[in-house]
Order: sequence, then structure tokens, then C-alpha cells
Amino acid sequence: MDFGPFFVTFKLAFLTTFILFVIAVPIAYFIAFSKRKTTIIIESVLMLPIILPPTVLGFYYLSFLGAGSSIGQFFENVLGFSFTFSFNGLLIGSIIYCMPFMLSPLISGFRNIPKNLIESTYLLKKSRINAIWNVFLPNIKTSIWSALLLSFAHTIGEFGLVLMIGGNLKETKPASVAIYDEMNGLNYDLANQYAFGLLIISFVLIVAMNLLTRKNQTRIV
Amino acid sequence: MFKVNIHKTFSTKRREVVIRCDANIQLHKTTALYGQSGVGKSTILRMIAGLEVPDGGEIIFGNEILFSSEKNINKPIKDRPIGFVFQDFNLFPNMSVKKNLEYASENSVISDDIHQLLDGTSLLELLNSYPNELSGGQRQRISIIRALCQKPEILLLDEPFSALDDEAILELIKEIEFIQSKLNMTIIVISHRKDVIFKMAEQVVHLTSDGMTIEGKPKDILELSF
Repeated sequence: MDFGPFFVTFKLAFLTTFILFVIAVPIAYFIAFSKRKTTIIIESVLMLPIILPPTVLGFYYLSFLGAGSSIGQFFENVLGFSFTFSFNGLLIGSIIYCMPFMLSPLISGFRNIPKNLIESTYLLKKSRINAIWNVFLPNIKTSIWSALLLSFAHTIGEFGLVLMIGGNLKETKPASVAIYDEMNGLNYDLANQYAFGLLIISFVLIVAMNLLTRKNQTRIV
Repeated sequence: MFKVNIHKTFSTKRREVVIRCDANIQLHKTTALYGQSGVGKSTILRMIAGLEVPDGGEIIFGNEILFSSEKNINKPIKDRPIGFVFQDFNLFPNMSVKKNLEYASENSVISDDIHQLLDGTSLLELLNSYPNELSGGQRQRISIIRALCQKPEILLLDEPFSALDDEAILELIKEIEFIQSKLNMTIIVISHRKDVIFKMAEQVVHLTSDGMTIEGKPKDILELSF
């Protein structure tokens, strides 16, 4: 069995989750506390992948950033960076696709912080960054874990988008696509091994998420 | 003198609520803000602290203008010499009592004054506890000490007794009296309990439901409102 697809899956899931977290925290904070009416538009655009078929996202990704697009050509010719058929392209697509799964728990975590706690940081004359780092984030740990696990799990389960962006190259083929390939090649044993691997990983992630939810419910009681 | 002459209007679909206060609060004394539910006692404190902006009027502390609609002055929270304690959820749950105090202190060092206050109020032994391990009364007492870490000149207490039993209320009053004897601050406290006001306040500002402000000694004001 070739472990390459599992390596790609995990590398993609870890990098997507890490980069998304760094990007999503300030965005989630902004969305959670902004009083501007236009915020709802920004939030809706970022949440779109939650209901959008991955193939639609893949289609527009290729249309705007693919080798045939002017942006894609510019990056390829000037910077030597390709948005398609490369791991970096896969990573960018994955970040866009998983954005809602990271943002949603973080936004709700920020919104659930008691108002008095937030105002206490103002009254103690703390800067926003100081308050986010020392008070807000430590008090939404459950939401953070939930966001990390959801994003990681969704990256592992990606299929349509990664197939469209990554093609069928060895360095861009995650386990989910490998199952599809092996099935097409009638290699059922190999497909079964990849599928079983993903089943176990998914089960562990679901157990972790349920444990987290239960722990949180106990704390509320 | 601490002059608070402000107003703010809240409009909902059904009605309009006007909150108004015109009081001269005595410096270095404990003043109780008294009135029926809904007259805007908490909003007044929030406006003094800078958490909400009045529609008009002025807040002048000694020679310092904290807010003046006429002169277009609205000092940000960080520039107001104010400590504030809410009814609940004051302490950061992720930090121990010691960390809460350090976080509020300049350069994260708890000053000797605060150590003395902790010692005088028998709270030193709670330093390593977390807020969820404390009783409601202990949490409020620590919250007051934390507010003092900023060395404020005015201490605003928004219904600090509301969730406490009689014993805890007495302890809290004792602590506020001890702080007052040491620091001689200007304290404004909201309480709906007349017995508490009688015990601790030297002045009462009564906000009536028709937007009037009546000031006086607890005995005079509270007997009027019986």
C-alpha cells in the first residue's frame, strides 16, 4: 500500500487548519463585534462554502485562478507559482473551502463571552490585541477546539474540490481521491485500505468532538 | 465636587425612555444611587465610566471634564480615573485571583497597597484560587480589589450586593468601609436595599421615575420614598 495519499491528506489537513486559524481569529473577532451593517455581507461571502457544492467552488477557482485566467498566468509567469495541479494550489482551495467551519465556532465563541468580561478589559485599559490574547481566546477554548477539529475533519473529507484543483498527480492526491482512483482501476482491496484508514480517522475525530461537546455541557450545568 | 448632569434617550418601537441625572456628588464620600428599576441607575454609572455616551450634559470631576456635550469633550475610558465593578462576571475565569490582580496592575506587579488591602480584608489566602472556586461574596470582594489595582479616584459599584446573602453583604460592606478608611475615595454604589444604603452611604442620589433627581442624606431621602 502506498502511504503517499495519507501523507498528502495529513499535510493538507494540518497546514489548512493552522493557516486558517491564524487568518480566522481576527476575521471572527471583527464579524462577532462589528456593528456595521455591511458585515453581514462579508460574513455571508465567507460562509458560502458551507452550502455551495464543492464543484461550484472548484469551477470558479479554476476560472479565476487557473492557468487559463489572467491572474493564474500572471502568478505562473512572474512568480512561478501555480494555483492548480500543485500542493500550494490545493492548500489555497482547501483554506477557502474550510473557512466557514473554522469561522463559525469562533464567531459564536466570541459572541458568547459575557458582556461584562469584555467591558472589564476596557475598564482595565487593555488594548484589543491584549484582551483577545489574554482574556477572550482563553475563555473560548471549547469553541477553538471545535473549530480546529471541524476544519481538520472537513479537509480530510474533501473530494470534489481537491480533484478539480489537484488533478491526478501523486503529490496532490489525498486519500479521498485515491479511493476513487483505485475503484476506477478495480483495485478494491487497495480502495478498501484507504477507505478503512479514513473511516478510523473520521471516527476518532467525531469521538473527540463529542467529548468536547459533553465536557462543555457539563461545565454549563 | 463631582458634577453629573447628563441625559440619554432610548427609543424602542413601543416607547421612549429618557434617563436623566443632575447630581452634585460629594468627593471622598460614599454615595448611593437609588431609584426604581428602569430609571437608568446602571446606565448613569456606565455613562460616568465611559461605557456609554450621553446624549447631552456634562460630567465634571473636580477640575477635570470627563464629558461635555457643549465643549465636545468625551474622554475615552482609559483616560478616566475610574474603577468599575459589575453585578457579576467581573473576574476573568481563565486566571487565578493573583493573575487577575496582576493583569489589572501596572507592569503586572501587585502593589504594596493592594497587598495591604488583601491582608486587611483576609483575602490573601485566596490568591491562588480560581474565580469558580470562590463564593459570590468573595468574587465581588476580589473584583473591588482588582478595580483598585488601577489606582482610580472614583469607584463605581453596580449593584454589587444583588446576588449575595445577608452575611456576604455585611462582609462586603465592611470591606468597602475598610477601603474607604484607607483610600478616601469617591464611591458611587447602586443598591435597591435601603438597609444597605443606610449602613454605608453618606449621601443618596434618588432618581425618580419622572426624571427628577433628589439628593440628600440617607435618612431624609429614604424616608421620603417610603
